[in-house]
Amino acid sequence: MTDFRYVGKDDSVFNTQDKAAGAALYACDLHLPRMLQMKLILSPVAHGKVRSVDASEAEKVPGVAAILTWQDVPQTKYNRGRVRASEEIPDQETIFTDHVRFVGDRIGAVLAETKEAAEEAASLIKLDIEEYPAYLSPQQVLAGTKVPIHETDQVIVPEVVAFGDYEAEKGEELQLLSSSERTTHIAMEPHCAVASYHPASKSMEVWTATQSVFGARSAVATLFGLDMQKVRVYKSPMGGSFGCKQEMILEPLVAAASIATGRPVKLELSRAEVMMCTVLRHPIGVLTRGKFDEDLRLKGVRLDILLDAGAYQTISPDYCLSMAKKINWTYDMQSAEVHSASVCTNTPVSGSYRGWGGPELCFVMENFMNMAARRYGVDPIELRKKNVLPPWSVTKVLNFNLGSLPFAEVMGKGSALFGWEEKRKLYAEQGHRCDKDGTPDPNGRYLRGVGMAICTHTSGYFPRRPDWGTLSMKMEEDGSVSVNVNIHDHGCGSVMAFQKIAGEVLCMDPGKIAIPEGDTLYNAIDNGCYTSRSVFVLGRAVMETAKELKEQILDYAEKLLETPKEELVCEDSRVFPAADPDKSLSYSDIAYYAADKAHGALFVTHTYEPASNVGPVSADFAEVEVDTYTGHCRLTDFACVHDIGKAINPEVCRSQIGSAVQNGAGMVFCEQIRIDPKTGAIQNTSMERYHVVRAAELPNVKVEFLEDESADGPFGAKSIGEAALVPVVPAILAALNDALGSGFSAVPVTPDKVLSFLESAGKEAAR
Amino acid sequence: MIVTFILNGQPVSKDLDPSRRLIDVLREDFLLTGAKEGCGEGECGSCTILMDGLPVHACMVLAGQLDGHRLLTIEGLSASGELDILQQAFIENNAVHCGFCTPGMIMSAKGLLLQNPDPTEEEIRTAISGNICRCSDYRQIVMAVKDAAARLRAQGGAR
Repeated sequence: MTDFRYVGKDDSVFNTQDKAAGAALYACDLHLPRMLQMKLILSPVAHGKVRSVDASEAEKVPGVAAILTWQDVPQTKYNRGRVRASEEIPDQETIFTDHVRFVGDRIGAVLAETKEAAEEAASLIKLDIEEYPAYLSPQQVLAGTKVPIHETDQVIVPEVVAFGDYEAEKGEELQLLSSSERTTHIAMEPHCAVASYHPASKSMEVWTATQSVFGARSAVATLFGLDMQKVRVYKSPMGGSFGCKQEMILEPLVAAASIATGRPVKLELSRAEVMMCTVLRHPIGVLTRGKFDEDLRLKGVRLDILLDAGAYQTISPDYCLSMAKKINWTYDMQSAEVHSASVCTNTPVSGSYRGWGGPELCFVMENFMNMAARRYGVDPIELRKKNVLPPWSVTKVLNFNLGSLPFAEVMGKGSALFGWEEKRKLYAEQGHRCDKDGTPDPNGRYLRGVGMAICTHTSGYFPRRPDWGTLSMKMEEDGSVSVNVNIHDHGCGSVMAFQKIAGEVLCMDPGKIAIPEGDTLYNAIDNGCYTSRSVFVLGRAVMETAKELKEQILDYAEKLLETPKEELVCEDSRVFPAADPDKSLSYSDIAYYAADKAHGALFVTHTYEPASNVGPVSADFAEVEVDTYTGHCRLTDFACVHDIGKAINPEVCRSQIGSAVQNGAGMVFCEQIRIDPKTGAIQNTSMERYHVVRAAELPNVKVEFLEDESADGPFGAKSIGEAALVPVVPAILAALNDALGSGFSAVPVTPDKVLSFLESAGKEAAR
Repeated sequence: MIVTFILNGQPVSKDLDPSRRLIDVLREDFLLTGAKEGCGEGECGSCTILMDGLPVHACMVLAGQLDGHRLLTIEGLSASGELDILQQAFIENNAVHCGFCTPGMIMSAKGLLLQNPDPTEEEIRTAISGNICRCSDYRQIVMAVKDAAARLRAQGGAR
């Protein structure tokens, strides 16, 4: 492993001083003169036509400036997932609507001087709605809709992704239906955006914690017919996204309200509103069929994916394809067929979630492999060893090289780190019964089990769509550096990663490198911080640009120090001849020389286009304890080996894995948005009734990185943030099934399900 | 009603609607925006501050309840311009990520250390279980609190 000065060393993320001081300013902290507060008027019914809106009482509330409905704003249909206007995807959503399609659909908004006045007025709005039949599940929609939710694209069946001939494969066919419920992201910062329209100049400013300022600009400029250069979108500090801030949800709304009132507008959602009317993780159901030969080699699979898009298609058809195209990233097989359908229902909108189909596909495939291992009575690791793709395989879908794929290594190291064989044997021998501290005890109240899962994931868009990073970098007179790159830090430290990358190349303190975040006025157009491309694509672009800036520095140094470039050394913002370190110049000396006596600015621009997309491979191992009295499940141990290529900032990468484990444990044990089957309303729009796994319920996650530095990412790095989540849910679910001796393939497995399983298993045993 | 209390060491007397939430009073009237609203129902801990040395959710306290009490917000920890030991420990142990939960998390930890200068890992995890961080498995936060506790003990305890 190469020894670096900054890369691979632990550093806190960008702007921690202000964050720790409580001084970091998020969109919710922003206040502009004459700013109005916006409160949405949301549909109380799942499907219907708004006949009228009576605002007479609401208008009387002191401080109310305007009440807007669909009649006051453009009714252009758009797709919140569109990053550039040129993308061909279905348009169904409008800013406000009189055809409401879910409980929480937007009918209008109140604008008032204070939040309290806006809330009071919104509560006084009287709605007259003709109710339509509501279709709350894809099955109901597929059975026929008397009143369509949408005239077109209500059901979208994406292309079938296939290779080989699955039907013709020989061997026993196994089947498994896997499903997962809606969840909400619980990014700690609820959605908030501020817009300020300047009527005289027809220009707009928007502050938002988005993953793509260009996506937000495109939506706003296109909807309101504004010149793009006059719409300036700033990325505000982001209190977590996990996908919930990927789509353009709030930006069109605040922009519409600011245009309508001629005043700055802030929209800050409550937690309940975040759950109701932003975006939730898709409920999915996937039937997996697969055939193994006598040697337990997987010959082929067929998947039938049913995705509940919620009330608008938005990104769901793409989400189906994002799952389908990963079918040949982990397992070697002769054939595969992936069928999918994305169905609109009268339920809250589904959309982007950390991993974008990767965790979903892994959940389905790893559940299937774990089920097969149980059925055939083999160690899940052994079954996988027979079936994983060899290193440097080319996937049969889109035909690109998947990279070093060290499956055997991550499983081997993970097994040792976790103590897989020992634990597996220990719990199985004692019928999984344990006492509170995990000691096997045939009369123990608790059950313990272990499980594992593997995966790989994406690092950027290549070759699915053109990708690039265009940026500029300059050196100031004091030798400090500023970088102009379209980065959107989600709070996970991508800015610090870039500072370290540039600092490493330029041989200078990363703290002296400024990397402001997304700003449409200055950044070159970019695809946005999606699909795990930030470090792999933009980070590499930073590295290449820094190399060019260093060349400029060396060009001057060569002349000034009368030494050929090859004999010069850079260290701590100074450059000197290797043979004569005392004869040195600071970067500042060179910057002044360039400006005073030579060709001006030290300034470079560069475009990097990735030509590979290597998957970070990982293996996760989980131990779960089940309380047989309460049905409560707890994660008691977790280990992960992640093929990261090169960890730019290792401790922060470990946090990403820890975060993913917390997130995935929630999905297995408790996280679930429940829809009332009668009304279509969410039954648990509060954190009191939406449970996440808390600090006291989590073990210290053991993490080991494989760093072969083989990838095209900066210093050999592969992706981490999304990849970390991919195998977590099936690994934990497998441990739960091992403990219980169950075959759950639907999550979450809440305590009531555990208890009814134990009850029926008890009856079975008594028979 | 006129409400009199100590805010970050300074005596304050202010005419406040007693039914307003403390989080709104802090953020809107005193422009102390460090406390963040993550849920508005006392579940997420992002708005945690100390009232007479004990952690409370600023979204669950009303202005009318403040009279005669001593409040410490995240801004009060570094009133001198220097970050305090706990804030430093959070930074140095990589316990700060997106930062939205951080002010509340630090105040909960502060409350713990005032009561218990040498907490075990389990006690720390229990103490911060009312504060949600989605960017980690809390490992770095636990390390930060342990680290701060050790440094404070070396200095003669938390204040």
